[in-house]
Amino acid sequence: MRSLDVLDHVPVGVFVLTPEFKVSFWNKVLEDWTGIERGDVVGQDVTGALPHLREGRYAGRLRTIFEGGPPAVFSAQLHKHIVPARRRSGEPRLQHTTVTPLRDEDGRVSALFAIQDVTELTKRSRQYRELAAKVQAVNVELEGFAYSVSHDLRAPLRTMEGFSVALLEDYGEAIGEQGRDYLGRIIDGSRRLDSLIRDLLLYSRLSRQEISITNVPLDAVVREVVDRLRSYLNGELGNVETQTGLPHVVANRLTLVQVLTNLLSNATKFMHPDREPQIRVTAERRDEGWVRVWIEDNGIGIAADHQERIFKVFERLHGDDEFPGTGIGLAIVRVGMERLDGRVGVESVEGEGSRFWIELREGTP
Amino acid sequence: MKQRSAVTVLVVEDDANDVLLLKRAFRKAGTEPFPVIHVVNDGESAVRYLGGVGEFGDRRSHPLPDLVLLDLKLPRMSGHEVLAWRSEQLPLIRIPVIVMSSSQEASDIARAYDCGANSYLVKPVELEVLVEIIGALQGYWLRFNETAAVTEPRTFGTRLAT
Repeated sequence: MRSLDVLDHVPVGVFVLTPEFKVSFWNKVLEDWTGIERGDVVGQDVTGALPHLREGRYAGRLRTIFEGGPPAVFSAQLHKHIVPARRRSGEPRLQHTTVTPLRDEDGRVSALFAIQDVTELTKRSRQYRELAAKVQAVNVELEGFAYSVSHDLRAPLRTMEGFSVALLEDYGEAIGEQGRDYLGRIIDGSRRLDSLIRDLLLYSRLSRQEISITNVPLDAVVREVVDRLRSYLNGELGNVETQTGLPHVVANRLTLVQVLTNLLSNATKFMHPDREPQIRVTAERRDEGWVRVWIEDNGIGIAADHQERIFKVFERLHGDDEFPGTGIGLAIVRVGMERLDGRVGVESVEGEGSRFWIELREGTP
Repeated sequence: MKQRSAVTVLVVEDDANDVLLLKRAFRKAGTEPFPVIHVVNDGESAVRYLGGVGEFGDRRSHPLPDLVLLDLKLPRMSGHEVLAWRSEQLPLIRIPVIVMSSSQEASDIARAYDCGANSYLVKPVELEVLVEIIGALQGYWLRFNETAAVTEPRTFGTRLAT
């Protein structure tokens, strides 16, 4: 079988076995792995070099091959060392073996063994598994941390807020105006810390919770968000204009609701003192199946050099007296869009307004 | 609407501040009926109270409640464990249990319902909101909601036939 000589030049151990269990080919790679020279093994019974191939677990499957059956795979999990061979470092060479029927001119079927060295691959996949287990452990710990933050950090806040309110209600007259002002500040502080904790929890939950991706009707979601915000803000949402016939997008509904809620409440918050607030929600089809949703306002706008920063946690451009907030809202938007495999961005001219956009894959209605 | 003289609420809460605020909220809400509030501070005591054993053996001083407000993170026995115990107690399971927890984690909420909680509320930081919640709760659970009669369990901790 001279045509097999080409197999001396591939990095795979190859030998051929006749139905009489005689070796008829042995490539250079195998010489290198085993130290057995081709001349010493070719033409000989396999019992000399690889006696275990005569054993039931191999012989049975090989017989099927000799009868012209389908190829057989001896995986590295169950048949690690079909050819006993060590690497230079001394460790055993892990092998993945494929046996294929090889028919000659006379119709006689031999078995072609192709053996891949998967030692490195196996090692690397074990490392990946270990790494994945570590990441999993860290995630579990983070979850515990978030739980503890939500429970233990908020309990003292309830005490601060609750008893300050009670004090104000029951003894407000007695402590005078300055006293009432101080209490008001304690109450205000506890509420601010509470919304901070709540936003941080939302942020961490959004980044680790498993979500399912489906077809979401943008029309219904935008309407839901606008209605809910309007009732939450007691109608002080300003003028919101929404394009009709918005397409379906590929997303998780709850995450998308959160993202749009944050973008819309952002748009209402940063109002220009001299203008009636005007908000527009529109969508357009972009290249390669993307849909871009615009949320535009005529508020105070964002200077060009701040437009990247605002998507990070705790980044704020204004003092609390001017525009109160936690500095997490747009970070939630960014993480939400990352989870949806979408994109987010902003175009803005300071003093004129902002045009925030998100991009998602178009879905089917 | 139901006709009844004294309405009892069992509050299972380990945070003394939360207990005080809860009582204040009941007072402030001003909704009828104003309940008699019994408080236990851990999950194990809740089970003993509901089972009527030991110091809770006398039903005249420790009557079976019409409603249980249950915290989740409790010493000795968690709220989830109390719920799981209750789901095996056939007559007692008829007493509605409302979870009042700080946790808004989806897993906590799901587990509470899986264990048979009748409602789940998140403790708000604002007292004003708590008053609103308690007012709504009084109206719905103590005034309008129809409860089934609960016959006394004869032996503590065993499953009883109806």
